[in-house]
Order: sequence, then C-alpha cells, then structure tokens
Amino acid sequence: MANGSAQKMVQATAVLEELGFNDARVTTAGPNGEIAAITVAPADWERAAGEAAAEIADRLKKLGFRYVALDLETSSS
Amino acid sequence: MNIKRQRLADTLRDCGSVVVGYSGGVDSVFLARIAVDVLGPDRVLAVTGKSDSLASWMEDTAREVAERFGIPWLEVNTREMLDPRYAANPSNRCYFCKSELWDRLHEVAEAHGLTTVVDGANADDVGDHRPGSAAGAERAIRSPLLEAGLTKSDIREWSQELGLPTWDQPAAPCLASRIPYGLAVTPERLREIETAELGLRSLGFREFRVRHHDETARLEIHPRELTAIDGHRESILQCVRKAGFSRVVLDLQGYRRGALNEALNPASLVRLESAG
Repeated sequence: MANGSAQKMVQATAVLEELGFNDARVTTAGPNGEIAAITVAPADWERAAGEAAAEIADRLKKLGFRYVALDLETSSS
Repeated sequence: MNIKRQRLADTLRDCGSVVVGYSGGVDSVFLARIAVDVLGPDRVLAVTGKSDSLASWMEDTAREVAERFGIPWLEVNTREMLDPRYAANPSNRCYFCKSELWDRLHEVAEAHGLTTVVDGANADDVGDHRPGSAAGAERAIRSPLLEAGLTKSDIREWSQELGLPTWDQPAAPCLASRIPYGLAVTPERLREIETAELGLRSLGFREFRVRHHDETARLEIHPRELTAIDGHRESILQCVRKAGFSRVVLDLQGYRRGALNEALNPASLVRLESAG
C-alpha cells in the first residue's frame, strides 16, 4: 500500500510525540528522500540517540522509510 | 585447526608460485605471510591495487606489514573508476572492480614469472552477496584460505599467534561500499567519505561507516560505541561537515555486522571520553 510522503511525515511526527518528543520535526534527506531525518531539541538529543533509538527506528521504518536517522544538528543550534 | 593448516600449506604448494591480491585487510595480510613461509619469498609477490576507493590507512597497513614481515610487495594502479559500468554504481559494481584488479594482477604474474593469482576469500565468505567473486572465478583466481576451510576466526587466531597487527582489525571493505547503489561513485565522494571516517577514527570510534547520500552523511555507529557519542555531538558534527557534507545524521539502527567473531578492545573508546 502506497503511503504518501506528506502523510508519512504527519504519522512520523505523531509517533515521536507519543514517545515524548514534543518539538520533534521530521524531514527527508538523501537524493531520493530515502532517509527520515529527525530534528529534536538539544535536551532531547541523547535520549533519542540512546534509549529511544530502537523504538523510533522500528516504528518509523514501519511507516515506509528506508532509513531512520537523527540530525546531529538540534532545533536550536 | 592442524588439519586446516596442513591443507593451507598443501594448497599453496599446489599453486606453485603466487601473486597475492593484497589489500592490507586481515585475510590477505595473513595469506601473504603464510605464503612466504610455505613457498619462500622468491615465489610470492603481494600486490595492492591502488585507486581512490582504497583508504590510505589500508594502503599504509599493506606497505608496513609487507616491510616488517619480509613480504615482497608492489602496488599497481587500477582504473575501475574510468569504467562507466563501475562508476554508475550498480549492485554488481564489485564485479567490474574485481575484473580490473585481476586483469592487472595477471599481467604482474606474467611479468614476474609467477603461476597463480590468489585472493584472501575465506570459508565464511561463501553464500554472501559477492558479485566480485564471479570475476575471480572467470579468471582462474584461487582462494587458498577458502580451499583449506579457514574461517575468519581461525584467521584472526592464527594471525595473533604470528604477531600480525591486523589480527583484530575490523572488517574494512573499500570506500565505494559506503555509497548506496545507484548513486554514482566519484573520486570526490570517496575523498569525502575517507576524510569523514578518518575524523571519526581520530575521535575514538572503531566500528562505524559513513554512508554517502550526496549532501547528507548518514553515520552508522555500532550500538556498543553509541554511548560514547554523549557529549560529543558537536565535535562529530564539525568533523563530518568539514569533510564536505552539509547535513549529518545518525542512523538510529546503528551499524550491525552479521558475523562478529571477536571481542574488540573496549579500551579503544577511552580516547573518545576525553575528546572534544
């Protein structure tokens, strides 16, 4: 089933909110938009890269993203 | 293990004299070292195929180990990058690279009067997606380690016994393997990958890949080393940007290698704790 790009972003943002990342933004990266790139606030970064990483990756991949990754730049830097 | 050692010696004697495809990796370094033992230095020549896809630290390892262990060695330039079938980066890219490499090595063998070209493929390589091995099969390349049934862990164990510095070196495929299939392999992209990976190595990381997605670098770092990122986000970001990427992202699945046969030294992370 095809999942449109805009719809995937909305769903991905909702998943992150559910996991407690309220200010997270999801964009795509890569020449074919194959990466879901997540930007979070500095205070949230280490949790996203650490204890929450596996669950974020798992749930966003299910939405149809090939790669799920965290931007090293945070929303305020 | 003793039977495998005997079989390896027998296989090498059966080859007569050899040109070893010698990348500076665990397997080819070990094979060249044993070949010199079994056949003597006059019947062995280790040859490194040099191109933009060979990391310079690998080339250094190849040269240093050859010097230190008395392995006759030379370097030849390979021109896979000029082959558009290679540069377009199809999923069988390795086939075109290996075809070029083995053709050059056959020339070297002929020029030096050596009979057989051999590679470092081992028993664990059977069954992987390895389009490059078809190029070897077409060109009568023999794989003595595989023929003797030696696995990667056998090779690491025996390498350690022999004092080879490569015994615990992480798997190190060529730099082009960091570029997703379909995105062209260019000298510039390979340089960016190499610069970014050297930077991360100097920060203390050991098991990781910098995947090249054009403007974006996607870092795959082994879960074991992920905790070491804490507090170093900024220095990692700067180091990868300096290599030429405008965006740097951390893959949340990390770098996972299928067959991890050995426990790598966690002390390698100590430097990272104090970096930055």
